This record gives sequence, C-alpha cells and structure tokens, in this order.
Amino acid sequence: MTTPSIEELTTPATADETFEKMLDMLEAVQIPARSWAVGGVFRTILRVVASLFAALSVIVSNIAKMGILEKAEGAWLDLLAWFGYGVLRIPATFATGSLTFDNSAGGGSYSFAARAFRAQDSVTKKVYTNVSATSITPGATVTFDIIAEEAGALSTAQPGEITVFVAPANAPGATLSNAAALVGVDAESDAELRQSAKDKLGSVTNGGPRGAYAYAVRHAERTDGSIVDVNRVSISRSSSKGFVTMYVASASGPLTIADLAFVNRSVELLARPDTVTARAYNATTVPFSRTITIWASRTDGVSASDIEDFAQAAETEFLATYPIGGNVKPPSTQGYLYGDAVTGIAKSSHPSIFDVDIDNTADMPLDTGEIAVLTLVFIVNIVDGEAA
Amino acid sequence: MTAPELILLEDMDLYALETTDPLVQIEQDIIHRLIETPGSNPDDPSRGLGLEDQLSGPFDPQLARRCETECRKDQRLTSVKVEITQTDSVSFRIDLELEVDGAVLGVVLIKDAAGVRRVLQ
Repeated sequence: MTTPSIEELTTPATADETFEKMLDMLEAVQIPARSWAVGGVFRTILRVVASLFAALSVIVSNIAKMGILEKAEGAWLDLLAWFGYGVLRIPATFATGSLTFDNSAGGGSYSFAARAFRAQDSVTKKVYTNVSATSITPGATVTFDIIAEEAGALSTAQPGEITVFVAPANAPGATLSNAAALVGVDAESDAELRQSAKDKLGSVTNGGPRGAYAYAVRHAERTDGSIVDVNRVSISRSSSKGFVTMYVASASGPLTIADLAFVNRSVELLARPDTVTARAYNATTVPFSRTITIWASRTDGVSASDIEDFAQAAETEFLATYPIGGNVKPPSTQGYLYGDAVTGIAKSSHPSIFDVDIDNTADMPLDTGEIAVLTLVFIVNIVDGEAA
Repeated sequence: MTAPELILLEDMDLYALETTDPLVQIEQDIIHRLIETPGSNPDDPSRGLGLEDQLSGPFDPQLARRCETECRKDQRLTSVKVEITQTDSVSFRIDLELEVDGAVLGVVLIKDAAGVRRVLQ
C-alpha cells in the first residue's frame, strides 16, 4: 500500500465517492453490485455504510490537518495552537471609547455606578455602558469612558452615533454623543492565529527575535486574565545600543495607560533578554482631515445619508488596521497614509458610487510610531444615471 | 438473469436469504416504496410515501391514487391499481394489483395500531 500524500490524507472522501468505490470493489470480485435495484435492500445498506465511512473520513482528515499548522482550521486549529504552541485564540474585543453627556441644557442630576449607565447606537442599536462610576450635575458636560456590552466588530460605533439614552430611559434637556469611533474587533481569524503560533516560537528563545516581541505584545494579559486589545505593533529594526522600541495601538487608537503597562509587563516576562532594554509606547495620533465628495448613481432605497454611513464605516474599518508608521514604498523608508487609498476605500464602500473626489490629494507622512486619525467630512451627490 | 436481492420485509431472515425471483423483488420493493418516509432512503431520496403516517391522520380520499403514482415510479410495472378500505376506526386494508410483464401480482397490506405489514395470501 502506497503512503498517502498530504493532500490525500487531508481531503475527506464524499459519500458518493465511497459508494462508487465499494461498487467497483464488489464488481471486481464478480458480485453484480451495479445490477442491484436502486433503492433496494442491498444498495440501501451499502449506501448507509458509505455515508458513515464518509463521515468518519471527515474526522480523520481533520485530525490529519490538525498536525499541520497551515492546514488546520477552526476548532481543530485551536487545539493545535494550544497543545502544540501554547497559544490561545485571541477572543473578540469590546469596543471602547469616550462618550460626552451634555447636560448644559438639562436640569437633572445623575449619578451612575460602574456599568449602571447605558446608551445605544442609533444606527446599529448596540448598547454601551460606563466603565467607571460617573456623576453629572445640572448644567455640566462630562466625558467618560464607555464599553460595548457585546464583543466583536458588530459593536463598532461611528462618530456621533451613540445618542440614545437607555438607562436612564430619558434625561430631559441632555444629549449624548461620541466624538470618535469605537471599534470592536472579532476573534482572531485562523490566519492570525497561525501567525501567533509562529510568533510564539520566537518567544521561547532568549535571542530577542522580532516574533518574540510581537507575540508578547499581542498576547499581553491584564491581571484579570483578559487579553489587552492590541491589533498593531511596530518594532524597531535595529539598534547598536541594545534598545528595542515598540509602538502599539488598538483598533480604536492608543491604549489606556493601564493597558500599556500590561503590554510592557508581558514584554518583560516573555521576550526581553537580559542584555536588551525593551519598551513599548503608545502610538502617537496624527489627524488626517479631509473633505470627501462622493458621486453616486441614484439607487432605490439608498439615500445620501446611507452612502455617507457606508463610506464612514468603511474608512473606520480601513484605518483600524492601518500599520503604525504607515505603508512604505521602497527604496524610500518614509511611511504614508496614501490619499488615494482613502478615496479608494470610500469608492468601494457601495456599488452605486462611481467617483470620489478629495479636497487635498496629498499623502500624509507617518513617522515611526505614528497612526492616523481620520476626520472626514463627506459630501454625497446622488445623480440620476452614471456621469457621462 | 435477475441480480440477487436480500429478502427483507419486516426483517432479514436469520440466514440472510436472497432471491433472484423478479416478482418477489418487485413485491418487496413496492411495499418498501409505500412504507418508507419520503426522502429517507439514502440510495433514492425521491422515493417514499410514508403510508403509516398517511393512514394515521384524517383519511385522504386521494391516498389510493397517490399510492398508484408512487408505485408507477418503478419502471418494472406495466400497470398498478390500489384500493384502500377502512376496516375499523384505526385500521385499513390496502389491496395492490401489480402487473409485471403480463403477470398480475396481488399484494395485501394492513395498517392497524401495530403499523403496516403484509398479509400473506
């Protein structure tokens, strides 16, 4: 019997393939299996056996894939990552950010224990709650930290969308608003988990390879065991003095001071060799303010406001993973946020959009440790038919 | 020569007897076709009437015609006739007249509280 290839081992047989193979084998020993009546007793029994064998082959192929990092998927990849590399899949994160409670025109007095205040995104209907105890006196405007009640990307809130009071149900004269987007991230994908496993191999050496730092940063844990929300890290390329400088950011932007401390603790525990000084810093935000004019064909059921929402959501998602220090075009070493990338994202946000103009086409340089924060004003023009 | 088939109505014989008699095979296949739940046979998901379920609810006067339609899916039959008679509040007699290559085969089934089974004549 020949040794099966990796492809054969990891590709399950279907019930039909197995059934045909069984018929072939029976015919080869002069049993007229192909003459059996369709739906008859013999064929039905054979079909049941073939179905069970095919189900078993799915399990066998998944077990085979589980031994190969590039082929394992889903729950099987989780098993390989944990038992083979000691890596757990990073769970979905809760969108976090700031909310402004403007009570300047209101006469009520409010005091909320942590997690007692609740507000809702007017578009997505997702709910957010206060992180710490908060008090608002009559006539005051208070900005405080909030966190989504559900983890994951669906709890991403665009600027200005969190406006609905839930608890309290109403606050006469008061308004709510979030100036910046709150970005939630889904659980680590299979591709990301495979990379984490490879990075983890670096962490078991004390030579200070880049993978060790990347792993330590991405898997930094708070004292309660939850994973710090870091989705981007930039690691200094070289140093003759033994300094390793890292810049980190979450999907929403810089980390909190507390989370940054946890990241540095993780680097100290998992990656830094004794001869090196390693330090992680928050990425510095650089505003990218532009006015974007969108041209779209009239489409039933899609308003200008809808198109603006699509474009804003697409830009928020794009920027949430934009690398720290920008993208570089070698041989240049200067990173940029490219203006045509921003317009391209807006253009692809809805099929009715046929062109996008930007008031300033210049690319914005991003230095080491910098991330862009978008402040975009959208002007949406709906035209009947595409422009000639 | 007709390929052999396992004899299996209520259950297999202790010795897993087979038959090459085409009439025995047709009779067995027709009975199975009528009692199988639609789509339950992995070798032929298009067959099945679910006769026991059909006779467990309010009686459908069109059921005999539907039995004939199901039987005609078997290409070996030249013609088929089905009559269903209610014998008590929960029991029925199903008479099948199957014509195969000029030969007429009579099959009787009964359905009662115990289910559907063939009556040997």
